Amino acid sequence: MAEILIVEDDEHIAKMISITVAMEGHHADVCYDGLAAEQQLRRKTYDIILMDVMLPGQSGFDLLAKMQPEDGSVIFLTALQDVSDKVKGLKLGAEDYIVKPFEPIELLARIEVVLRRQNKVGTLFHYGALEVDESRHTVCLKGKPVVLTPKEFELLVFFLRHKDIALTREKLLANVWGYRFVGETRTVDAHVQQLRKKLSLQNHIVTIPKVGYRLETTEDTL
Amino acid sequence: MKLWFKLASASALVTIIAVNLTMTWLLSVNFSAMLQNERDNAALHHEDLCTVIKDAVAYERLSTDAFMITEQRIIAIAEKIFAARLREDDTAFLLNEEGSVLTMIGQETLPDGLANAVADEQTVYTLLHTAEHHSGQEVRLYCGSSVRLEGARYFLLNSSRITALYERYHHQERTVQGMSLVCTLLLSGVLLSMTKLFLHPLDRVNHTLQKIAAGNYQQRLPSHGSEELRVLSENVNRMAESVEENYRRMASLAEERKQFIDSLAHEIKTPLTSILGFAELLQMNADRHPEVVPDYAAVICEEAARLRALSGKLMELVSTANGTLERIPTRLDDLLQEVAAAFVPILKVRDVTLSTTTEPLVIAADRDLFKSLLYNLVDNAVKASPPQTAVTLACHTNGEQAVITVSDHGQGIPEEEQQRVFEPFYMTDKSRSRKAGGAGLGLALCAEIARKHDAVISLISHPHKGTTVTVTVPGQSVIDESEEGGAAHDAETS
Repeated sequence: MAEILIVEDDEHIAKMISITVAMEGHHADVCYDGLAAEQQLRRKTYDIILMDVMLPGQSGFDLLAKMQPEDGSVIFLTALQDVSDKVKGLKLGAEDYIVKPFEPIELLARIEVVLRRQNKVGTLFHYGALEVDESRHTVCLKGKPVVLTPKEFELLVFFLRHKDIALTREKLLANVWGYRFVGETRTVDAHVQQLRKKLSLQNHIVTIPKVGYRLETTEDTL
Repeated sequence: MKLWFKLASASALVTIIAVNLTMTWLLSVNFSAMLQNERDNAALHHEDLCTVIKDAVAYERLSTDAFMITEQRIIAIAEKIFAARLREDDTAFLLNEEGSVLTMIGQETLPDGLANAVADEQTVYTLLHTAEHHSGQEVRLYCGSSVRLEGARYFLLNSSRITALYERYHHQERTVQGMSLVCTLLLSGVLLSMTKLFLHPLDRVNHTLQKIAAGNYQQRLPSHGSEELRVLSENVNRMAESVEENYRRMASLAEERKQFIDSLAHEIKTPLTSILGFAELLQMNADRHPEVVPDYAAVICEEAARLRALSGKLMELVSTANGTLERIPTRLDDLLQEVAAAFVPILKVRDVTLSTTTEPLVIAADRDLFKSLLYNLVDNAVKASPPQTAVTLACHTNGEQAVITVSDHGQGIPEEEQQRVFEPFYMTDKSRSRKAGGAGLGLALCAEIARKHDAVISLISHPHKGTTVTVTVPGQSVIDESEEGGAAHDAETS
């Protein structure tokens, strides 16, 4: 889907980000210092550049100041929590600013927002006999429209965006309902039941014990 | 009210009061003298008048050859003499023994009771009399005495007008008042402008102080001018200097603290990001791809170990900085041997040798902390050493101080970084030292322990040749144990 450059001096974090974005089908290159990233950007342009601020060679701020807009949209990943640093990053033209430590799903959501701004996110989903148009808010099963409540629709789109990823009830609550507290997980269960029933997804939205749910790609949905 | 205004008005007021009092006093003294003079003159004149009348009466008696001249003749003689002798505005009266006026010259009436007063007096009687007149106040000076003429007793009175004297006095008084008013104005003006001029430098002091108060701490006053001002300026400057110094110290302390917290946050958040990220990745698809589990778990363990090392070192640093030392006499050579022994397994793995050269030495030290200091230094040296090189750990005394050196033959530290290696979280090679489990706190901890022991820690490094760290323990901490006197002890551990 998207081409992503990861500029991060900590090997493990870089690896974690690569694995995370690969789950969504993005392709990622990794640079471990500011100078290598500058050279890499001369060779290739990216949709998104995920960049640490404190880098060996040169800082993320310095690198951003040298970059051209067509090099790609920058999202800073940093341990610095100072508002002034955040403002500085955004003033230099960064699209977003994520404070470490962050969750992989959160990173994916921020990437999606930037891609949406670039009009690089599809709003049409095909999953087996299911056709979903996010922009027009319609769902068709085998060509027949199905009526879903707004939350059911949002939950469905979230599953479709994160196919084959186990999503905890807490994560679903946070991302679909916007709740930041634990406990209201029965709401999620109820909506998942509704989706399974209305769209015949009993075998596709799988319950994973102690974790949550996953929309799985199976032979009949490819 | 402003100070210059107060000073000027107070001095003007005092001066004016003093001048006024002096002038008024002088004037009145002068006036009394003049008045006395006038009285004396009038008395003389009166006596003269009496004598002339007496002589004229005697002459008349002798020339007419009469036994006694009549009262009529006496009156005529008196009138003649009055007319000849009296000045304009003067008056004169001749009274008989009963007090009735026999003759008079001038327009005046006789003041009441004057005749009786004259009768009681043996000599010339003088009296000042003030009367309201149509042209204002009129003051007259009366003189009177009893005169014996032809056997009978008469009273002779005369007066002269001395209003002019009073008028002159009042005129002078008014002149003095007018002059003092003019003087007041002039003096006030001069004093005001002079005090303002003298106190003007205070404005400058004030202006500078305002700037300092507003945070412009490097402002200073020029120290010249009158002595008080110079002293004031010097004191203000001294104050500003100490304020500036304190401010700088606090600012640098705050900056250090901020740096420490930023670094700490960074050092905590970096492993946390990996731990959180990989744990969630496991949650997301470990059930379908079990082959990733060992890999992800290894990362989580490694990063957790890093956090543990950080927290351990941090606690050590904090407790060292805040704790109290228990300094007891400690055999430094034994301590070195203990530390060397602890490294045996690590040395085997890394293929590095450690040679210890010791002299029998006793220092006053907190045994555990000092051992931790040595351990950290050797640990750094071993980590920096390539395989098949040697690390040396040595201690000797240079007479007073105990000197401990730890040397390696590693990559060395670039010169520009040598000053910063004792700062918390400072790492010369981040990725390598993290792999080795370093948190960047080892040397900061060493520096803190050394500081607590009043020892000096320094570092000399030559790129590609190696690094030597020297700890110098001051003389008062070295305990002389001459009875030991043993030979130097060398050992090699590998």
